[in-house]
Formats: sequence, C-alpha cells, structure tokens
Amino acid sequence: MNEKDVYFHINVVLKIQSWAWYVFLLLFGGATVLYDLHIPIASQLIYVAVILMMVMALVVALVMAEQFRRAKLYRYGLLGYVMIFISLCTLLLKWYL
Amino acid sequence: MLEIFWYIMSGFSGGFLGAYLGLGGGEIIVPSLTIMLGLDIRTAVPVSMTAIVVNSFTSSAEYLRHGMVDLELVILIGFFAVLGTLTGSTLSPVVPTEYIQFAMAILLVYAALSFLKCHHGSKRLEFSDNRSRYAVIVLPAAFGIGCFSSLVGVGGGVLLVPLLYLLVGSPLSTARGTTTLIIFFASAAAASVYFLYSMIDLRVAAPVLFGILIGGKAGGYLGTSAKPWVVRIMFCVVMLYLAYKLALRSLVEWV
Repeated sequence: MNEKDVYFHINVVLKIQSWAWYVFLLLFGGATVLYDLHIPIASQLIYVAVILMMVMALVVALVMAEQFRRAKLYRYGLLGYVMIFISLCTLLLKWYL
Repeated sequence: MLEIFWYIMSGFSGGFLGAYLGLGGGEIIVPSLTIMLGLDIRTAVPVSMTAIVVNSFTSSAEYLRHGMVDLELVILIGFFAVLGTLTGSTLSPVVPTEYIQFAMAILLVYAALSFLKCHHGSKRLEFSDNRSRYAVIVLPAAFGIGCFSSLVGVGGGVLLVPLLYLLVGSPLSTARGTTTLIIFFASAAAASVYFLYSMIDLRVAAPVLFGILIGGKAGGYLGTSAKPWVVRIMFCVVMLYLAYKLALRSLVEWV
C-alpha cells in the first residue's frame, strides 16, 4: 500500500458500492421479473436503474476527487474534478446537438 | 422465459470472466448476444456498454476491499483514458475504422506475446520521479487506448491491463484492480451517450444487467485470490481471440 493511502478513506467508496449493489440487484431483478410478466412498469424501473447507475458513477468520481483533495494530493483531486467536468460538458453538448 | 434465462447467463458469464481478469466483459457479452441469441450488433453494443459499467462497478468494490487498486493511477491514467474515449466516440462517425482495427489487432498480438514473456517484479514507475516518461509514453498511450477502443467498439481493459503491467510496472493483481475502476469511469461516459440517444434496449438490458451483477461479484471475489500465471494465460487467450476478431472484421471491411 502506498503511504499516501493512509490518508485516503476508501471506506466511503466501499460503503456506497456495497449498498448500490443490493439496490441494483433489486431493481434489475425486479425489472426482469416484471418484463417476463408483461407488466408495463418494468421499463420505467429499468430506466430509473440506469439513470441511478450513471449518477453513481458521478458520485464515486466526486467522492474520490474530494478524498484526494483532503489527503492534500491536490494534483489528483484537480484531475478528478476536471475529468468530471469534461465528461459532463461532452454529454451535455451531445445531448444539445 | 427461456430467452430471459439465456440473457441472464450471457450477463453472468461476461461478468464473471470480465471481473476475474479485470476487463469489462464486453468481449463475451457482444458475441453471445449477437451470435448465440441473434440480436443485432446495434442492440448488443449499447447493452454491453451499460453492462460493463455495472460489472466494473461491482468488481472494483472487491478489488478495492483487498487493497488491489492504485488510486493515483486510477485518476492519472483514467483521466486520459476517459478523454480518449470521449474523443473516439466523437470521431467515430467520420473516421474509417478498418485500418485502426487492423493496427489494434497487431498491437494485441504484440501485447499478448510480451505478456507471456514478462515475469517481472519490477518497481512501480512513480509519477513524481518519472514525469517525462509519463508525459511521453504512459499518458499518451492511455489516451490512445481510450480513443482506439472507443473507435473500434471494444473495452479498453484488454489494453489497459498490459499498459499498467508492462509499462508502469504495477503487479498484475493491482493492474487488474486499477483497470476495473478506470473502465467504470470510461464506460459510464460512453454508456451515458447511448442512454441519451435512447439506444439501449431496456427489455434486453434488464436480464443481462441482473446476470452481470451476480457474475461480476463472483468473478471479482475469486479474482482477488487468482494465481498470476492462470490470469496471464487466460488474458493472453482473450487478447489473441480479440485480435483475431478485429483482424477478420477489418479484412471483411476492406474486401
């Protein structure tokens, strides 16, 4: 382990991932069953789940960038924030166009 | 009902192998959805890309828990890989991909052979001590991998693991763990584009994603204790298989 990792509280990311796994399992499993039973709410459920997954990627990236900043690894924190900014800008631009 | 079962199995197998080797799993999901289940490639690729997000998310948790992720490399290499992915997805409508596919096939064969020969335990290339080497070789390579993989429609993991292992000097276990988290950010950006354009078939995605959640968890769990020589051989097989597929596809497009 890198000595800088001591300052890096990865437990936050792990907790998010652990909870999210159960939530996604419930959502995707539920949507699969509902699709099989031809219940129309299934498409809305999977729609919500996919949006939630994208939000989760954003949250994990934000948490990591913030953790780097708190660990005084400013260069990596900044890179994390710039990565989020560029990704969001590109997505918004593609959506707009 | 049987169709849904095969979708789940497709997700499970892709998730298991992908998480075990530190890849996304698209190498398994796309052929199984198109060749075995008869789906159109335009339906399979967006579903596969969404599945890769879920798989890398699930498996990276296992690698993180076991301290097998180099977080500095995730941000450093991930930043350039994400930039490359976004550039590749923007350029894809105007760039002829047959040459890139063929070049990538050769690169994969070279990487597979280097992977087999290399048994190194070399020291990790620290960024602070090797800035010029990072600036000239490693970071442009990460950008290129993101760009090329996005242009030819394969996951970047199959080249990112060799990059971290052969060029940066990470141990194989750390290279796999780090790659899963990098792929998570890169594929989330690409999947969001498919989602914004409503290209994801939700009826297929639901069972595939359900299967990949379970497969990814199992693969990630077993992958943390995998023997390096087993991983190296399996990885080479996947790289050579992918090289063959890409070379074949580029030759068909040429002819």
